[in-house]
Amino acid sequence: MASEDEFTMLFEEFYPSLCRFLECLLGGHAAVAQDLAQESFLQLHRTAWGKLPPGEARFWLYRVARNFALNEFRRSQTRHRLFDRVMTSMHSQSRTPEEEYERLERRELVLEMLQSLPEDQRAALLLREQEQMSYREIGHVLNISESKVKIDIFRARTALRECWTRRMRAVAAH
Amino acid sequence: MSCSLADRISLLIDGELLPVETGAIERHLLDCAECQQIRTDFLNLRCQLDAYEPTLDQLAVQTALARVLAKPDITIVRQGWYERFSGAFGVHRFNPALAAAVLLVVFAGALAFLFYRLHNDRAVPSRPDYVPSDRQSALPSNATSPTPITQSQPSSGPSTSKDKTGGAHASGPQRREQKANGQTAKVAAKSVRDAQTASRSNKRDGVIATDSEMASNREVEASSAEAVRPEDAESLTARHLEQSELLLRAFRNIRIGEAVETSEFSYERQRAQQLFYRNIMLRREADSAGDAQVASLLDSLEPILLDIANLANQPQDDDVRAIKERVKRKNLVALLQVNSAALARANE
Repeated sequence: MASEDEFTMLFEEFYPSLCRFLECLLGGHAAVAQDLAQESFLQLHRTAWGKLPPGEARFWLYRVARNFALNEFRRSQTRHRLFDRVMTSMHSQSRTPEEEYERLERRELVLEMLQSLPEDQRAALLLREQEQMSYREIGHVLNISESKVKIDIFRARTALRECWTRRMRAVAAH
Repeated sequence: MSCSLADRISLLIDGELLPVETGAIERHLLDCAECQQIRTDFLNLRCQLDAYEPTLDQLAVQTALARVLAKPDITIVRQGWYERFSGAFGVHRFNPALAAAVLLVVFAGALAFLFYRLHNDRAVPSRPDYVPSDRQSALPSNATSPTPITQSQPSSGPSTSKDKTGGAHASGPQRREQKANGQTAKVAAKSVRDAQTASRSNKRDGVIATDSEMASNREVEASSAEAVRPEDAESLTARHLEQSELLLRAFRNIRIGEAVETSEFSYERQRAQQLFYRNIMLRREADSAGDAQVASLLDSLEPILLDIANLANQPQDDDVRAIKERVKRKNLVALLQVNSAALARANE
């Protein structure tokens, strides 16, 4: 029987990653991402903890989190709350202003590029690049075939590559 | 991408090719500049995505864990107005009966308030510019309110709009007057405070404020309740921080290892539970007001209150020690003391 300590360890290991995945999926709404991540863990704790095969909890979490994110997209309101900006500025204290500026610029660019992708390509790419899941695992989380995972990731990379190249050319022209 | 093998680059960097295919593609890369560039760009994108840091810190992780482990029926979803309101009372699922009961209570309260206002309005002449002479003398000469401090008029919009002949003119001044009354609520409140100051100084000179003055002061303050709301939140927060500080001091002084009476912990737990719910409300208030410092402090305090509230009747020494160490590590007692004093001073 899985214990509370094991749940705590799982939480501490995957909660930041899940927040990162959701932030990128949602386009940077940190507070919403954290709420959805907490809800995912809550669902796991309440309904599935101790019932999943070993090692399955992680994939279960990402699947549920992604579904929550899809529901979030369908809602009419997803505004960038003041809380997000406050949290972002509070986390800047350990860096120099130049480093922080660069970091925020990069973050915004990454989020902007990701938002240009269809949601299924975005989710597949994030699970591959940020969570290092295999194509089989990604298919398991997103409930799609490996072939579709392969195609989605390739298309996502190609689209982002073009977007990135255009950006760099625009910067160089300036 | 003109090269026919470009799509294999994606599989190559993901390690999804068979060893034979991997060898073939790597040999191809030696001769194909386009595929080399594609691989470089794909790996660069990987770095960018992997380098993305979530907006999160260790405290937020601990707080989130505390919330997940706290209550079995709690639901943490994006906070709409209903969740914010009901979450403060530990109710997190839509309950039609409860919602109906709440609406009924609110409706009854609104009716009672309306009745009270109408009843008091009848006690004063309806002339909008009437000011009793005793109140006029108590007003400071430098009062800045453009309208005298009178009873607010009952709403007369619908009746005036029906008057076609002089309707526009008859409702216009009244509308303007009502608007002016609404706009000067804050200024009226200031005048009230000035009047109170004047009446206090008059007291020193032997003049006593009349009952009608005090009644009018209370009514104007009630009408300008919205103007002073942020100060109420500050004073509530200051009190909350002070009470939390007292609780943590008392908790810190509990000696580990000695026999502790059950009743002592029972009181701490109940107090912590009350403060926990209040902390949630005040933290959300601070978040929505954009007060990052207070919100951060309340955020640090919340898991401590939760842990104390969740202690067993006769807790283990380790549990008590862990909480005390966390309080000490975060220097919470000192932070609470400083912030409660600062808020109390700001509210004076």
